[in-house]
Amino acid sequence: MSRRKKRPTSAQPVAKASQIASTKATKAQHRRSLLAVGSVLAVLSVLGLGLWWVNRSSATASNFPVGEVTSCKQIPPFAQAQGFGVNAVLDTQARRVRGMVMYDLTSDGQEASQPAPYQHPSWSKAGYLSSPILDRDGAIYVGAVPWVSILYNPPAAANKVYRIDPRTAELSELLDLPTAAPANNTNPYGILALNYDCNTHSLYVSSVLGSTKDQQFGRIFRVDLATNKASIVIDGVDSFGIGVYNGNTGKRLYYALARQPQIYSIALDNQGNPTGQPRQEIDFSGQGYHGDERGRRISFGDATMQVRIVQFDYTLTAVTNPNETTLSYRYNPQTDSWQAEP
Amino acid sequence: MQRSVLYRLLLLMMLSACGTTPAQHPTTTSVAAETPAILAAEITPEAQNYPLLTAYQQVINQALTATPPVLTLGSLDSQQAMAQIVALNEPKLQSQFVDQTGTPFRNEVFGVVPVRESDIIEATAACLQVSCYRVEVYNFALNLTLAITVDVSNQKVIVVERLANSQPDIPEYLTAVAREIASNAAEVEQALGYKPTSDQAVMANTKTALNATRCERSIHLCVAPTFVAGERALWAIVDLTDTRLVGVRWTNVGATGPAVTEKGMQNEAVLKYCDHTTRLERDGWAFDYMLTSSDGLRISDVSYQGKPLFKSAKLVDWHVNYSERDGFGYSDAVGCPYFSQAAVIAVEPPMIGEIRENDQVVGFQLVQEFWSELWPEPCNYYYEQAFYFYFDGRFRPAIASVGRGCGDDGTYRPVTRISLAETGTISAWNGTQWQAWQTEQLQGADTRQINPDGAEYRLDLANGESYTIATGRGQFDDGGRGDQAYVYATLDHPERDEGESDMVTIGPCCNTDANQGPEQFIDNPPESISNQHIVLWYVAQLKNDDTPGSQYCWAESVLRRGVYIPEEYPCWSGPLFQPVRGK
Repeated sequence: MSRRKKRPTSAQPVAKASQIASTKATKAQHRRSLLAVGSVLAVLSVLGLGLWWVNRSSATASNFPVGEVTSCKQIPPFAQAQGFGVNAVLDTQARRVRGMVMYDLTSDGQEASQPAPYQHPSWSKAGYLSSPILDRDGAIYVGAVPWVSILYNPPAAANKVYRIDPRTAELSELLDLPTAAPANNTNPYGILALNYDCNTHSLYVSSVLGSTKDQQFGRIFRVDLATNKASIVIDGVDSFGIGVYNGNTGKRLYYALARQPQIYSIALDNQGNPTGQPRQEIDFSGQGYHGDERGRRISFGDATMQVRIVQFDYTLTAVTNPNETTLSYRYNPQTDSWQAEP
Repeated sequence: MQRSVLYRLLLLMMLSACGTTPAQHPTTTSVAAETPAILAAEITPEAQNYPLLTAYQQVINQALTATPPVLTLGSLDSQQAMAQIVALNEPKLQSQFVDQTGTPFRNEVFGVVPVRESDIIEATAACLQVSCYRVEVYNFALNLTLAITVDVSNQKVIVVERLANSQPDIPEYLTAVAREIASNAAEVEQALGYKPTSDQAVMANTKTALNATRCERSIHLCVAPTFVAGERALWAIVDLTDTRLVGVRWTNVGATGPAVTEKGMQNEAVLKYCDHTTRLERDGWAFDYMLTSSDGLRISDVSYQGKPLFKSAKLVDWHVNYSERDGFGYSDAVGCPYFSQAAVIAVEPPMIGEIRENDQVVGFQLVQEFWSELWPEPCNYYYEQAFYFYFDGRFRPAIASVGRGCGDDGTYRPVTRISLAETGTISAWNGTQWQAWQTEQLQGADTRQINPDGAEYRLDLANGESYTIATGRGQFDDGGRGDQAYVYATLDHPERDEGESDMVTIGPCCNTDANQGPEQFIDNPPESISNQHIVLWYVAQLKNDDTPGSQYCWAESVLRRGVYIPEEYPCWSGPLFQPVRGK
C-alpha cells in the first residue's frame, strides 16, 4: 500500500527526554495535563513560617495595604495531626493517585517516604482536581479538572467547588456554580482556577463550562466564604488564572483570558464585588515557548505579579513537557499599572 | 437556542435574588480567515528548479563528514575568519557537535559578529581590552545555539553559552534558500495566481519566532517569506530543517492577530473537517466523513454500488495498559485539535490515497493521523486510523499505534464501533458451519473458529448482501501480528444513543479482559439481534515490543543526516469485510 510519508519529526533525542522525565517516580507519571502542571501547591513550609494576616475582614478599600492578599493562609490542622512538617505539600498532579495527596519533601525536593503520603478517602471522589487554595482557617478549596479523559470528571460535575475541612480532612461539595449554558461534548472543562482574598474572605473561581468554539459562556464567580453564597463577578468571558491585588487605587481582580494572551482586571469594592468595567492590563502575545500561550496562574508579591503561561486549546491533550513560562511584572503605583521585568 | 434563553432567564432571576450585577467583559471579535491556511504537500524538489537548495544540501553532506562537522560561514573578513577557526577548533567544544556515539549533528555557523562594548558582560569583560567576536553555531538536531565568544587577539575562546530552544538570525544563503523554496512552491503559485520570483519574497530572514520556534510542533527552524499583494500578504512558512514548505496563509497587511505559525496553519486546515461533513463518492463507494471531538474519524452513510452498508464506523477509544504497573495506563480519545475531548489530536486533515496489491491499484484509503506533540518521546502517542475501500467491495477499518507510549510493557486496545445500515444477522463459524448469534454477545480469540475461506464471522443483510468478516491474525501483509480481538454484537438502540453520537470515554484503561466498554450495551438478559440493526464492536489487543529487530507499536528517534527523525514500527489491526459472491 502506498502511504503518504510522515510530516513533523520530533527533534528531541529519546535519551534527553528520558532524562527530563525521570526526575521523580516513573516517566509515565509525568504525562500531565496542561492545567495541572505546577499545581504542587500550598507549600506548607512557607505557611509554617507563621505568616498570619491580622486585619481580617474589618479593612476597607481605602485602608487595604498595597500588595498581595493571600498571606493569611493557614496550615490545615489535619496536616499537623497526620505528622506532616513544614515541608509538606498538597499535590493534585500526582497522577498515580486520583485527586489530592499530601506528602513531605526531602531536602532535595523529592517525595519523602516518611511520614507516608496521606490521602483522605474522600480526596479521590471528585476525580482529578485543580490547584488547591487555602484560606485563613486552613480550609482547602478545589475544583474538578479533567486529566486525559473525562472518565473520572464528568462534565456534570465540572462546576463544583469542593471544600476540604481543615480539621477532619473530609472533602465535600461546597457549591455547584450556575452555568450560562449546558456542558457540551466539545469542551471538557468547567472550573479552571481558584484564588482567595484574605481581606474579604472571598474565593474567586473561573469557569468555562458550556463554552463552545464560537461562543464564550465562561464566568468568574465570587464565593463569600462567610455565607457560602456565590455571585457572578464577570459574565460571558472565558478566563483562566485569576488573582486579587490591592493597588494604589483599591482592590482589583486580575484575570487571564482563556482564548487570548491577555490579562484584564476589574475593580472590587470592600466586600469583593465588582465595580466599574474591566480594563486590559497586560498583553503577552509572542511570549512563551509557543508565542500564543494563556495565563494559567496569576500570583502576587508585595509589588510583583507572576504569570505562568501555557498552551490551552480546550482539549485533553497531555504533554510530557508543557514548556511553561513564568512572566514577571512590577507594579507601578504612580500609574496603577504593571511593567514587564526582564 | 431555547435552552440558552432559559439559562439566561435563570441567570437574571439569580442576579435579582442576590442583588449584584456582574460585569461584562469587553466584546472581542475574532475575524475568521477569509482564506484558510493551505498545508503544503510533500514533494521531492527537482534539482533544476532548486539550484540553491541542491547546492545547500551538498554542502550539508560535506559538513557532516568534516572535522569538526560544522558548515562554516563564507565571505568573512580575516578577523571573522580567525574567530570562526578558533571557535570551531576549541577542544572543549568538539563533543557539542556530535551525539554520545560520535554521530555528527547538523551544525551550521549562522553568524560571526564583533562583540560591541554594550554586549559585554562579566564573563566577557576581557573583551574591553581585546578584539572579540561572537560566533553563533546553530544545531538543527537539538534546536539550540552555541554562542561562542572568541578573543581574536589571543586566539582563544573566552566563553561559550549553550542556548536551548534558541535560533540565531539566519545567514543570507539560507534566506535565499528559503525564498527559492517558497517561490517554487505550487501552493504559493496557486494562492497568488501567478508564479513569483524569489525576489518578490520579503522578510525571509524574519524568523517566525522571537524567543523560540514557531514551528512549535516539529521544533524546527522556520522562516516566513512573505509575498505582498495589495492589502494582503501571503505568508509561506518554510521549514529549513526539513527544507520544505509547511504551508501558506493570507493575512491583511497591518492587521493585528495571532501569529502565523505551523500549529495555527495545521489547526486551521484540520478544523474544517471538525465543523462539517465531507461527501466522497469514488469507485463505487459513497460516504460522508468527519473528524469528531473524541471518536476519531467517523464515516457515515456508507454504501457500495448503491447499497447501504454501514450507518457509521469510528474509533471510540484507545485503552493503553502497562502490565508492570498495576492499574496504570490511559483511556485516550482521539479527535479534533481545538475544543474537543481528545487526548491525542489530529494535526493534519484526512488524507486519501491508493491501495496497492502486487503493484496494482485495488482501492483507495481514507487515513487520519493523531499524535502527541512530542512524539516519539516517551509517554507521547501516535495513532493512525484508516478505512480501506476496495474496488471489489472489500472494506477494512484499520487502526495502528505507532508508539511510543510510557514503557515497553504496554498493550493497546483500540475500540472500534461499526453500526450496520441494514437489518441483518451475524453468524460465527463453529468449526463446521455458520451459526447465527440469536442474542447480543461477545467472543474472544480463544474460542473462535476459522472457516476454510479464512473468516470467522458472516453477515447476512436484509438487502441480500452478505459479507464474511476475518479478524486480524497477521494475514494482511501490513506487519500486523494478530489482533487477539474481542468481537461484540449488540442491538442498535437509536433511542438510547448507545454510541451513535460522539461517545465519552467508554471504559477504563486497564482492564485486561473483555470488559473494554462495549459489554455495557449487552442487556441482561441479552436482546435478540437476529435480523436486527446490529452494532459490531471490535477491540484489538496489541502488545508493544521494543526488542531491536522486532519492534512493534513502537517508535524511536534516530539521528539521520544530522537531525533526529522518527523510526516507526506500527502495529496495524482491524477486521476485513469481504462480499460473499455467488451465494
